[in-house]
Amino acid sequence: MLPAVDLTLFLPFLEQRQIILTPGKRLARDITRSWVAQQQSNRSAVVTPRVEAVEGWLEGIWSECIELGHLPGLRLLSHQQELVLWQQIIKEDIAERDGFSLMHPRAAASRAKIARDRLLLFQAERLEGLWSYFEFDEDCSVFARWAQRFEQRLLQLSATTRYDTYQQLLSISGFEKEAAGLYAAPKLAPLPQRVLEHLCQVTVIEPPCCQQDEMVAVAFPSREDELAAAAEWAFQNSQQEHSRTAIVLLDLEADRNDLEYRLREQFDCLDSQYNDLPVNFSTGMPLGTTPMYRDLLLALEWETRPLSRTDWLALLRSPFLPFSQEHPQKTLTLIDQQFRMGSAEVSMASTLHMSAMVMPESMLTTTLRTLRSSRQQLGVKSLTEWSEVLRERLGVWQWPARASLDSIEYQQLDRLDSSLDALADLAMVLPHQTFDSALTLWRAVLNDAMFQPKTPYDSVQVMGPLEALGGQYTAMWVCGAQQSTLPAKRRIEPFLPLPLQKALELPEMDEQSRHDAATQMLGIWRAESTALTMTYHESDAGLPTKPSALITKTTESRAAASLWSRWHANQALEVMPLEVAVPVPEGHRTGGTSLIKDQAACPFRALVKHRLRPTSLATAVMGFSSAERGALLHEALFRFWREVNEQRRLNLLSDEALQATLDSAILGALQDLQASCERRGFSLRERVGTACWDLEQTYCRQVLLPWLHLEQNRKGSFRVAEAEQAHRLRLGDLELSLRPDRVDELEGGRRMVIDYKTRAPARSQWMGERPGEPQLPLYALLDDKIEGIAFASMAEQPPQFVGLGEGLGLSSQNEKPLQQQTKGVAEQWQELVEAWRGSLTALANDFIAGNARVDPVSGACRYCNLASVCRVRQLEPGEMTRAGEVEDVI
Amino acid sequence: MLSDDQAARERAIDPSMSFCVSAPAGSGKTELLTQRLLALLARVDRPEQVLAITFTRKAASEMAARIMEKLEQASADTPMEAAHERVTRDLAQQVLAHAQERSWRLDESSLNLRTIDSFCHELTRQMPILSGMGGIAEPVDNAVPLYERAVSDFLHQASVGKVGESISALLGHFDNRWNKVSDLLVALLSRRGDWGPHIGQHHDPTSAENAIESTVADLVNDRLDALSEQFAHDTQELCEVINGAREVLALSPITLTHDAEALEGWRAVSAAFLTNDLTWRKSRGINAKQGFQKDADLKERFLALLARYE
Repeated sequence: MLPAVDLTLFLPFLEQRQIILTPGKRLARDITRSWVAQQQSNRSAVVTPRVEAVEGWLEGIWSECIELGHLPGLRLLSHQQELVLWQQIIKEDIAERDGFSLMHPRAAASRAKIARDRLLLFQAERLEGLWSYFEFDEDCSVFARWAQRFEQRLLQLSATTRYDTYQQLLSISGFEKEAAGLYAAPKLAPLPQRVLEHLCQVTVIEPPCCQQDEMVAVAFPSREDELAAAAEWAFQNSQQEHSRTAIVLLDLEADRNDLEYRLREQFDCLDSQYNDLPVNFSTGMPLGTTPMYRDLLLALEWETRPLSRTDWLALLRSPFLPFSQEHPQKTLTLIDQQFRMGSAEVSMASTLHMSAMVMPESMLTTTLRTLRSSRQQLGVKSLTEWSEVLRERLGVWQWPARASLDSIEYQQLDRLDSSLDALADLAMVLPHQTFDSALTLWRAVLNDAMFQPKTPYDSVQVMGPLEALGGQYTAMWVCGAQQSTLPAKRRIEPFLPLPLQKALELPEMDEQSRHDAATQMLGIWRAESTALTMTYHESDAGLPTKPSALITKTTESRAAASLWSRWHANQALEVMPLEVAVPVPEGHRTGGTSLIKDQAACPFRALVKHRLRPTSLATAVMGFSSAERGALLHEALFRFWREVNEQRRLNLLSDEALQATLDSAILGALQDLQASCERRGFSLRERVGTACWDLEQTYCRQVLLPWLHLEQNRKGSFRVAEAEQAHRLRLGDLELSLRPDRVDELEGGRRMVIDYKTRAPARSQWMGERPGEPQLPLYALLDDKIEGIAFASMAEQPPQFVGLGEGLGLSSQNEKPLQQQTKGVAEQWQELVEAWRGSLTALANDFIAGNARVDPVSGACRYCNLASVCRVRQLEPGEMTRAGEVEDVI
Repeated sequence: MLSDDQAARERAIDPSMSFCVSAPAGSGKTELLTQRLLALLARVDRPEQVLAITFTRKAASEMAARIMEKLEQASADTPMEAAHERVTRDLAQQVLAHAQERSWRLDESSLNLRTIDSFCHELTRQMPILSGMGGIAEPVDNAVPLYERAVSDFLHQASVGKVGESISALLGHFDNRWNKVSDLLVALLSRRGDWGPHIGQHHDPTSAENAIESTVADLVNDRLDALSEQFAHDTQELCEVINGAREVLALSPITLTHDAEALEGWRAVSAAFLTNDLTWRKSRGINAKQGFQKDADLKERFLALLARYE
């Protein structure tokens, strides 16, 4: 394979064992590797060359100077320590000033660190004397205040920062200057340049540059097309022997993840071979966002706050925790039950409670019990102590669980100790912290640590524009040569006054500097690759975009075929089998009223819900769910009528007694609901909160009291013959289990069935071959004495009965003949019952026969949640009874 | 007329003055805006010193393309027939000369044409302290989960202190349906820019309450004025008929003026004319329930009114 670097440029220095300094670590590593590889092929013993990145080399020199006593002993702050110090200063400043606050103080700290670094790098003098520049701008003057306090804190801590050490190195003298080669692209900032010149005899190594008048670029219709084409090109190149291919992303931040996805598609590394992608990315990912650490942080944070449902599910499925493969069926039950609680978030306590019931001996239960018992030991500690606690916690979670980690995971695990050490090091700048704060800091440390896997793969490199300088490639693709990215955009540092930025000649401020830098970069890329392809996209998010001004000629691309279209082209079409009705087998021909209701609404819905029975996880709810509220009203009325039993007794109650009896029934119902939720593993009262709980009690009273007044005024008299009593009814071959809310016995022994509703549907819903509300008609078939049915519409203003039947004493409607009530469907009650028996039996038989056609009645699809499995949209209008009507409601 | 229009157009590109241009579609507003941008570009040190704000990315992109097109035409000295096109070309040529003097590299990315979102985003980047953000705040495409979180936290203050009592009253008004109240508040939050100023947002509770009452009073007064005007010819008759019906129902009489005190009276008129669904009542639906006895003169008079306004 082609060496990573063309060594001819560096040979004079390498052969004379002079030090070579590079702007970045990547080039230093590549020079070393290429030299070692070349030497290994020639000799048996290889001497490692002296190649270092400028930053690392200067840090080494500075440490050496301290050891030798040439410089005062100071502690060099890490990047994270510096950030934390800035945050502390900003926090103190906000606390001291009324009416001053920041939404993202951490972002301000990061910005402040950058601004101070820029000042040091480009000013190359001490900061005193500069602050007068900052007086006339609010943002800059606040930064100046922070920066001066930062200086004081450095003194107090006897600490220093990286670029302060450069200033200190300028003060040493009386040493012999060593000869060093400095690779010149990209150009160093004035301060390190000056320090190097102070410390060594610098020979600049100019990279070869191939300038041409013509710069041709290929245009792609969109950014997606461009990245897909680049990925396909890289895949094809990687198949060739000895190739060394580079993709340079000019907008690395925006395009890196998308390109990685496209490359994974091409190399088939999206799933099981995820870690085998034969591509080297110059920028890694924050260690804290790698799946292994991401899941660990989530687990640890669960101790401090409830998790969202999504995060909680991710935790249970994590391959780095020991629960993912444990009791899969029971885990599903646990998830189902946890979701049924209705909370949007899942606490550790509730999962422990539920898990102890569902799988008491599981590792999950044991782990959560251990964590609960050690919860009291947390409190406030130094970060050094917290780093030890975190180490112990990892043991409790058995992280990273998997017996065999792959190479990349192992490299990630290898960074654990250094990250915890970095956390402990923050104790130098921070006082004692809570567990919560310590975790937040550790997350920041992990996110600050970039993880870039050491892979054996070398053939495809993905880089940013600067990392590509100094390498050697058989082919290079420069992606995203847009007007907005090449040359780089003007960038203004918000904390530095504009006149100062101009005076310091920050390169981002000067158009000519940016243009020259871009032109030089293009020349170097051309020189270091055998074939250079430059591309841009003509539109972004649907809007036209322009190529870079450095491009002189464009050509149209051939868009890469998508993976889907290539896959689709290779597949043979499958033939769907004809629909054949499959009858319900004997022994399974049972159900409830909902089965008939669903069969009437749409046979396919009945098939899915009552035979296939897919389950979806319960959604989160605020306050009481509709089901809970319904259950509460039903139970309160059940308890009330168990006590009062008949209208005569109801009318004997004084207002106070009625209210007291009702309150007692409501309270009992609430307690009953709470007990039932506790049996399922959660406290309803805790979930909804005390305010909601109390308001619900009031609401129940507001609904039920007027309702009972209506019951008091019913004509004739009644007694509650039964409430919530179970019955069985055979309809054809189907056996139904029924439980009417209430059956009243009227004068003369006639009976009426009542169904409680907050708001009653229209009477028309009881009629027809496919009734919308078949529940009460089904109850009417239970007993010959039943001669009336009624919805109790309790929450209406005013409350009312919506009934069917003659002489029920409910309302003036029921005084009309049955023929008028039913709009001519039946003159006699028995006639109506027989009509219901016929239509309901037909529906039952239809279900038993396996009729599962998609045939919704009007409006049935409006609230149907089976859209993902239903092909109602694909049906021709003629295939449905009410095809045209469905279209509008889906 | 034409010379007035021409003079107005010329004035509108004078960079020393500010203008609000309002004109029908197709009258050349965009051309005028292009000319003004070119006129401004010809007198600044850096092209980004001229800021143009649009509401959409598409509009910003189109404006940038348009400016560049005019500059290219000017550079090629393309002959123009229409007078306004010649004005544009002349202005563009002035920009090119100015750019050459100052060694600008003019392209779309050097023009400061932004959407309002992008402009605000840039402000927070440029002024982390003054904006109170501390750093760049990335706008979210879907803020609903954030609104939901805010509403949930708010509702859970129910029964805590005085605000809690008000929240409880609100929830009670909605039958303790927290999901319903949450949905409504989330919808309100997503449009807070529309109503916030009218209810004294960011003021203390008393000022806010006064502002709400004042806004509602203004709305009521506007509507009562409109009603009084609409029924001006029949106010007397309407009042007599409605009061006649109310007498039958043993209800107190109403007055119909444009004063706020007459609000109840106009509500009674609304209930007489309209159903609960706010549709006009059918004549067969006018009966004793509303106080209009069968075959009574009062009913005939009301039906005549109904027919007139339906």
